[in-house]
Amino acid sequence: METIVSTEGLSKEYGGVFRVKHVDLQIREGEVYGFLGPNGAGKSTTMKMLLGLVKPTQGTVHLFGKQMNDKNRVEILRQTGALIESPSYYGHLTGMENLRVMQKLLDIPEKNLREALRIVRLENQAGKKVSHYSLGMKQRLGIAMALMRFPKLLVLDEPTNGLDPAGIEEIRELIKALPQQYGMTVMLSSHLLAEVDQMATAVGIIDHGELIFQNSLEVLRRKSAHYVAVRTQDSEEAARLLERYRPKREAGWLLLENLSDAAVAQINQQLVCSGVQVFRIEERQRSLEEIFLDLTGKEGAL
Amino acid sequence: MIRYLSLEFYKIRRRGVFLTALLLCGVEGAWTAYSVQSYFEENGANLIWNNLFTNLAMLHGLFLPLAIAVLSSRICDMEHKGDTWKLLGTAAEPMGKLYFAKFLCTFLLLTVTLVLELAALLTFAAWRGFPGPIPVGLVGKVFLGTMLVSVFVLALQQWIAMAVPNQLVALIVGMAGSFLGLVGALFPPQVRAFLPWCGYAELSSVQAVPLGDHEWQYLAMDPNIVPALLVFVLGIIVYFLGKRRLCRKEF
Repeated sequence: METIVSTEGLSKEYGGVFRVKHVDLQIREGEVYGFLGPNGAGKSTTMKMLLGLVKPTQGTVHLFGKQMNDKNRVEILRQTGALIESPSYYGHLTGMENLRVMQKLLDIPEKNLREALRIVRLENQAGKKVSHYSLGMKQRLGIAMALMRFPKLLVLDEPTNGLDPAGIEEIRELIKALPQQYGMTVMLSSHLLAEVDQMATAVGIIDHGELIFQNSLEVLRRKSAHYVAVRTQDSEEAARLLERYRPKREAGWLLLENLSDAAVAQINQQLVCSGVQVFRIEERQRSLEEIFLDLTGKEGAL
Repeated sequence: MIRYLSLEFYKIRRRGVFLTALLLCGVEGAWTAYSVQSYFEENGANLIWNNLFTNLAMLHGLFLPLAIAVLSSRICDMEHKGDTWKLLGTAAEPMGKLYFAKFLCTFLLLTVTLVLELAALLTFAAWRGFPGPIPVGLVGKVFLGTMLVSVFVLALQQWIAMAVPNQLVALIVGMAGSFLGLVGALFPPQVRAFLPWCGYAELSSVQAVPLGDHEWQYLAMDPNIVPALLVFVLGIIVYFLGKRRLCRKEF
């Protein structure tokens, strides 16, 4: 698979502080790349550097195999569509007129406008002024503007922001279908880890400007080891008895890692023989949110 | 370039931009006509054409910096309000061409407004029975000089309107320009040389020669277009500085 986006040592400094530090992104053709990170981690700044909206302090950006510079930026970006931070629009124009602005600028066929409106379900609102749109409708318009060219690379910064649950579901299904239906590669950032979990095929996690993880979702899940959770009638006594296994305590459960089947059987026998009643023994795996919390030290959903 | 220009005109629909400019220049034209009318009643047809275009040049100094500030602000502000420079940037269009398209759009609106104002004043002159044929040379020099000075004012106003989201700043600069344009004729030439807004007043075609105590003789003269040319060159420099700033801006 061709690499659509790659960066080497990408960095951005503001006022002596590096907001993005030595980021080496790799996004392959046909991926839905979920770009995760807490607020202020550097997600939007990184995306802006990819699109040439912000000049990197250090490092390089390659899109479609070509290094981005002032001379070829226009040519390279003809194959991209983007929605960065909040949606951009002319409030005094209708939804359709806003799309026509892009159509005139980019010389896009008429049928693309209709198709983009249909995809984001704004056909019935296209005649209304955008200043009268709700936040969700403005978000959909922003996505439509990014989609209009049916680009090879689509960059979406928090695309489900402001949408209701039904809208989130629609956009999620749309994004999942884009690679197969339209041959697009999608890079999206989100704070909703559950969203990324359901949409992305590859994940990059950025924290304090550094890319701390980048691989497929499967690899991320496999990073989390399975662990055993035990609930007893006396967790204090149980924790004392199992001290050598270094258990963690959580809401009445004892959590033990790296246990073989034989070790689990031994623990059960030890507790029962010591008079501690065992209510539950469960095998668990960390959720994506727990992995994120471990990696960044922050809450996974904000 | 035509595509970008037509896009600018498409974007300003329902903004009333042209009407705003027309209103301001309409007031200016009416004021000019009123001043000339008063002069005509007192002095007859002597130097009447020169008086008309001198009044117009003086009032250009008052009205045009403000009119251009308003025009430019209305056209640039929509990009700030909708945060659309970011969108235009990712649309992969050269920012320099977009900047020029905005400049050209504003300039064309201003030109049409001034042509309409001029046509209205010439119609007024014909109706009042001003003598002789229309002095085409005089009209041409005043109009050309006005457009040359306006290039500087527009370049400066567009730079400010694009650089500073709060349009109050651009309007304050416009008002300051209006003040300087109006009182500029009172400054000595050495001071006027550093105030480009005084370029409008330099297009005066009437010279006042003192005869003695409180007595003046008014003589016709050719408007001096050289100051306007110099201001135009300054305007080109300001334009490229503003364009460079936008092209280097990070979004």
